[in-house]
Amino acid sequence: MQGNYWQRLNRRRFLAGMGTGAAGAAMLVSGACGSSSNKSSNGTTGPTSSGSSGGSGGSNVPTPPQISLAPDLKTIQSGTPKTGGSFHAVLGGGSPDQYDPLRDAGYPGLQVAGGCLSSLVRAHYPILGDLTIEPDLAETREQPDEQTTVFHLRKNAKWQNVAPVNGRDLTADDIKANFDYMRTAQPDFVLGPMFELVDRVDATDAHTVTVHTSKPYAPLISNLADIWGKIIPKEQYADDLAKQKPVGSGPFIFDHFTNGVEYVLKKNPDYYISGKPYVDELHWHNFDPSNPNLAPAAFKAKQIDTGGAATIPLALQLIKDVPNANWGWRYGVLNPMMLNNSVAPFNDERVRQAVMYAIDPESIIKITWQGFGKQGQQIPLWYSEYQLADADLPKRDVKKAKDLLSAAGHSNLDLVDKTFQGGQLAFGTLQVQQSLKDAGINLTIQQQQWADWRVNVYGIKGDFQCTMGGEFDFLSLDRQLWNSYHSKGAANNRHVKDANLDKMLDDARGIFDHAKSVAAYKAINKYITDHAINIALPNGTAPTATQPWVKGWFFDWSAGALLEMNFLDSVWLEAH
Amino acid sequence: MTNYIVGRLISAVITVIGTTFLVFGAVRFLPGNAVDIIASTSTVGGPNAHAQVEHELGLDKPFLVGYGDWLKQVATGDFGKSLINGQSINRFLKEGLPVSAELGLMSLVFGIAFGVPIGVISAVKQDSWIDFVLRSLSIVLLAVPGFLIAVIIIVVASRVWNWNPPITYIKFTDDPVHNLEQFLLPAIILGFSSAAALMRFTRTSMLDVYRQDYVRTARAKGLSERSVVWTHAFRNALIPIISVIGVFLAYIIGGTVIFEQIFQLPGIGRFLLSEVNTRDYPGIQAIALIFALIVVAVNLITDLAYTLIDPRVRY
Repeated sequence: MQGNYWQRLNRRRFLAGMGTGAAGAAMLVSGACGSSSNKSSNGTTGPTSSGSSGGSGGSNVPTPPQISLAPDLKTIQSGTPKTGGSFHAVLGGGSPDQYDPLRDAGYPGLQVAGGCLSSLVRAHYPILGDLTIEPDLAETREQPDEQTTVFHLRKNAKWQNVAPVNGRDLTADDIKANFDYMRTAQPDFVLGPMFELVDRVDATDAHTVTVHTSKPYAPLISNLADIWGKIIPKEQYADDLAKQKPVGSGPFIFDHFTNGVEYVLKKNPDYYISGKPYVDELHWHNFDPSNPNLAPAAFKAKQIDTGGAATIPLALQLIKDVPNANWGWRYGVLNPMMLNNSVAPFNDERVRQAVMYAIDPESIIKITWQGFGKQGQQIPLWYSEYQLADADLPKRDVKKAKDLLSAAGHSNLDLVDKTFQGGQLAFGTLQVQQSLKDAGINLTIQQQQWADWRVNVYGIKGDFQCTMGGEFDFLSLDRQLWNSYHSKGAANNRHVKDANLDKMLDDARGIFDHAKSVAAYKAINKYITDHAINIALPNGTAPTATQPWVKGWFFDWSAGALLEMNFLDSVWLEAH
Repeated sequence: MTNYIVGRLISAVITVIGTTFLVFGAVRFLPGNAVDIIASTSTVGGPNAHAQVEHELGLDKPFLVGYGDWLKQVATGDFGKSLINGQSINRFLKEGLPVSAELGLMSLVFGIAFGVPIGVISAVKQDSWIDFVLRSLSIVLLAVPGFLIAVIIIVVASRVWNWNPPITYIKFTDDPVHNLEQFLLPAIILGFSSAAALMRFTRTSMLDVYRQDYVRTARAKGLSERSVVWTHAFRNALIPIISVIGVFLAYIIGGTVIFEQIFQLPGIGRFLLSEVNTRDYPGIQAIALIFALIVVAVNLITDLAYTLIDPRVRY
């Protein structure tokens, strides 16, 4: 598989996912991750002790080092849903380029398509909450053995009553066709690698699909529950119809759009979940990302129901201006310093480790994220149970860095970091450059045009010595890690060829026991960290909000995984 | 006169072709490997995507042949399809042109309505405090980019009054009030900020005419100052002013690209930006052609307008 996998990575998406530019986030309250007092609506209450309920005023303003992460989900989920109204949301990252998630639609396309398309299963990961995998088109599923998964489809599921599907029934044959479509041997079918182990898909009867894998493959469900794992009708496969207009079985039907400005979806009257969706229309608004004041101004003027701000100062101001909004701080995308493991000097582990020990993560947290950041790891920070303890993370040690460099035969080292224009401001690149100097490492920043960087540097060509520019995070750890670090991974732009790591990644795929799976992936996290195969820089957090009258729905914990797009059928609006 | 018009039309065609030729070539020199970028995101897939995209772009043909093919296609009114999403460029142009035209025309009207009278007043009141204020204002408008003024106004209006311009585009024919509410502010700002140069030019032109003997004669004959200024001086000052309006319009066209972004207007300027970002050559070339046609047409019209204003001018 080639590297068109990377095309979904759009500068604006990263910047939108992180809250653009310098996002500042306070250090997490150490007990917040996994704290039972901060669970999602599946468990207990929402906000932390710093007092950020959705409705209070100045006490809602976060300050480093403590921030309040979660909105008052209890209030958001309370009340009897009312039908009607239009929900106005902000597109992150520009206007949609295309709408086919299986073919690497960009962030905005995924947001629009998310309301129109369904999955077999869908994932929900609320801020500070627990991950749940919920039924979608597959009402129930069972796993008779580790290589067989049986999905029982909803009998009332239909495709939307628009061309080319015209409201026909959605059957097991459609799911089978979708699996085949997902695995089309073309570079832009980005989920293909994640289903390579799918050996055979049988439509056992009209509403039963049996998926057989050639080996035990535990991540099958998380791949299907990801925002990309959508079901598209076969009528849309040819002539790139799926790219041009999203047609599916989801709660909303794509109605019309004003190019680059607004994308309008209307309620699907034949949606298979009775009573949903609640709102009549869903409007996606695209604001110019280079003007970070526009979206906050529209939020203040109550023209849009979702909000946030591109930078922390704007966000803090907006929190003051709209204190009664539901505010939540969530993690932005991964922030790695990617090293080309196959060429000098980074084919020498000692040099990679030297760079890792020379970097000062505190300066990135302080300057790039303005205090609102946390040391990153190989697995997204919102996957709290997979995180390593602080003691296991590398600490800055300039002497150690110099010793390692010396052992590798370098007294000084010149490196070139390729980044896209403006990227050096958003990921801590300048702070990395500064801190490396202390260890005698001179980092030259070479800026490129975004699209060029995306294809030739960040893409599978991996034409770089090192590069910084953010990295997307996925629900599926298999996609996050196997695809990126396995020697056969389609997204292995770091050119990693490590037999031990390959084995760890292959073995993790076959572990179904949750506790053992967590242990396995934590071990992979540690291995990649210890060997500096990839250097995880601090992540920022991005504030996001909904208007106080928005009920039944809030953003999930990851700005990048877009899981909340799976649940647009649940949003409803109180009178206001 | 007929010969003049024919000559100008021939010249216009050459200009437009020249412009499109330059743009056709220039986009292919944009930084980054366009074929890689497009092949990785376009509707063309498969192992031969790179070669297929090159074929679609005509890059596998000699440059002149590719350009000729594109011209032939455009001559039939077909601007091609987006290489990114397969949608018809004609469709986007059809939707976007009325929007940009409305913004452009309104800005032009505001700009002329503001710039010309201000320039005349400034000239008539030369060296007075009025002249000083108006000249200072023009310098400010020249120095401060229009889009910055626009963003400042939005931010201030948001902070002080919780007001934001409409974010949903509605056609004039569907709801004129809402439509004008959305267009008025960007048109005024774009018009005014573009008018600064027009104002200064008007002032200079008026001052030049104001010193002429015939103006002194008109005043000596006892005509009112108003008649002297508007009937005698202004009309003669108008010729060079009209010639500048063509340039003024080009400035406004450029301004619409950014203003459409700021004010959520789905015009072709906004479309152009997204096309450039995605290296969607057919869209870029189409809009460049349209912009060139507009500028050339306006300049032709302004040249012909001289004959109406100055009876001495005959072609």
